[in-house]
Amino acid sequence: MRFFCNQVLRFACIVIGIVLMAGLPMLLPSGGSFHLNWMAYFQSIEEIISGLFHIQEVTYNTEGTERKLLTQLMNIGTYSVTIVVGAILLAFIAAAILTFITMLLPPKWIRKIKVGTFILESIPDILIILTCQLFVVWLYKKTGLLFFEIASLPGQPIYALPILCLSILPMIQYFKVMISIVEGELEKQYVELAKAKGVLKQKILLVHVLRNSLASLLNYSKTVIWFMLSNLLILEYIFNINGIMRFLLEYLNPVIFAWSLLAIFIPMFLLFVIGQWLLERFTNEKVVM
Amino acid sequence: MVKRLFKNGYFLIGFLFIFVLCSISLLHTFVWDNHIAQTQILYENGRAVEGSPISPKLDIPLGTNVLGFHMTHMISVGAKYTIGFAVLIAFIRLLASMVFGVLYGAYFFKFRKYVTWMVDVFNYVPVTLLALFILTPFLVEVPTGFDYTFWERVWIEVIILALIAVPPTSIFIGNEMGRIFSHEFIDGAKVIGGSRLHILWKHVRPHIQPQLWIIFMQQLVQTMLVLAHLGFFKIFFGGTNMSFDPLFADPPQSISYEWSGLIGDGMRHLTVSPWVVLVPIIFFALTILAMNFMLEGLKTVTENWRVDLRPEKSVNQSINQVSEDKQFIPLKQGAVQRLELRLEHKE
Repeated sequence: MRFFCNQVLRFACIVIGIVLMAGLPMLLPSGGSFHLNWMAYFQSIEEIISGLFHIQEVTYNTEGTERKLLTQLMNIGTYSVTIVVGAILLAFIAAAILTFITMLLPPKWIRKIKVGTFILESIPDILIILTCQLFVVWLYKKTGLLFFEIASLPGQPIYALPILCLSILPMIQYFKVMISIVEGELEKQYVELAKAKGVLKQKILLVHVLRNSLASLLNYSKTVIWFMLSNLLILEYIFNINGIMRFLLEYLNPVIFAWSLLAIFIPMFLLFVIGQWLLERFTNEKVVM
Repeated sequence: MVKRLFKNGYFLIGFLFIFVLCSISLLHTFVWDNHIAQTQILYENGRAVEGSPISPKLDIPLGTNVLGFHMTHMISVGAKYTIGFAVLIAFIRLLASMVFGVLYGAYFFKFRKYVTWMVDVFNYVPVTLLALFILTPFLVEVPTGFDYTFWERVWIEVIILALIAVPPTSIFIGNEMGRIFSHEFIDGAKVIGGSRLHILWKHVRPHIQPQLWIIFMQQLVQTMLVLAHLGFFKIFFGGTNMSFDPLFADPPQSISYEWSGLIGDGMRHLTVSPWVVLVPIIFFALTILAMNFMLEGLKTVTENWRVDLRPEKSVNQSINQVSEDKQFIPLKQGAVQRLELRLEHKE
């Protein structure tokens, strides 16, 4: 019970934060002056709050026609969230497999792999996404095979390449963190006991270490998600995907900004809460969020 | 500490890269007077073989852009602006977060749960999106022109880019401070009668100082990323000049040869001449890599070296005097101590 009360409070705090943030452009000076417009800020906050409570009535304007925000958010929101969730799952699984293989290698190699991941991790997302796209085009030019659709057309959402592109950097980040967590875990005594009892290293890694490091990984996922949302912005722009970030960029209006942020935030938040609840229930680890 | 830093391979590599880049850039301005070579048509045996944008060749190492200006020269002129402004922004971020972090850590730490949750919003909003949301009215020219002059726009952009990262950073600093405040030695200092400011300066500061350098480097890397992203969305440093001529609309122009502007300028030619975009992005990547190297060096130096108590000056100096170098004692290999354990000077 206490857990749920806490989560509801946390949710409320974040919604307040989003509302305060969405009003910011109104606060800042405009028209050549250098004064903060507190009045306009409070007005826009009022507007946003009333917009939050009356979602059915909020509309946006595309080339003269008024459209309902709710239906649009439903469509593009599910699409964007699918891509993000798909990418994070792919990244997590790929990183787990890579970590498993890496940990079975001799320590000399592990050190080299660590330096490699450190360098890869520093590559900015724009470079990775652009090179992915250029690479597919180049492959198409050379072989005549189009493995993935490289741009989305209206009515034909693409999934494979965006998910793949989006998962590259999170995979590297997960990999790096997993290696450090697993290395820390391997020094603990239960691993020594298991070794002494003659349990295979593979089994120790897959059963015991994996279970014990899930809590830290869930905690780290928050950073990864934040990073991925920033990647998503670039991705949707380059692949011409009709997703939530592109929609946001086109209509930079406080009410729409607040609602779109909520549309991304609510599913992510629910996922985290469920994950946290499951972990605290079935393992004895505490997750600090 | 500085000496140890420069002995660290990672830090040295990163530092040298950025140092060389900035020096070349400054030389370019002060010695070669911002000269940028232009080759619009490439001749071979008297016949024109390639018009601008010219692809990378031996004598034009990184190719040219659409107007025939050499990428190498533009990158070199632009380096000092991009890196300089990034450093400035990161520095303002650090200063502002320190002020707010200290206020929060020393006075509002009771409400830390709620404050942390509220600032958690920043974990769900990409910085680039927030920057675009706030900066677009200032930096994109409308048909009636800009509301602010060039330098006003530059300062507004610097301040806004700095301030949007302040809340999470100050919470981070504040939480660190609050943690240090809950140690026993702080209670000891209080009992003896140290004032809040005295405790802050004499007992908390030594713990938090190495952390601040790390935060500065992290912010620097983040700023570079945001600048790259903004350039990608054609929000250039100091404003985007739009052309509203219905017949011959010029592409959006960057005002200096600042890197993010170069990215935005080249985006239209991505598929035909990818080097126009990729060169500035690769330079961004290299600079960010260099900064990450510096960060890594900083982390290893602060984590694996223990600061010993600076010996008090006594009458018999020959006993107590410890040379500057020996104040750092290496820990045993592989031992990574938590920050709060690092400063045990009870013995």
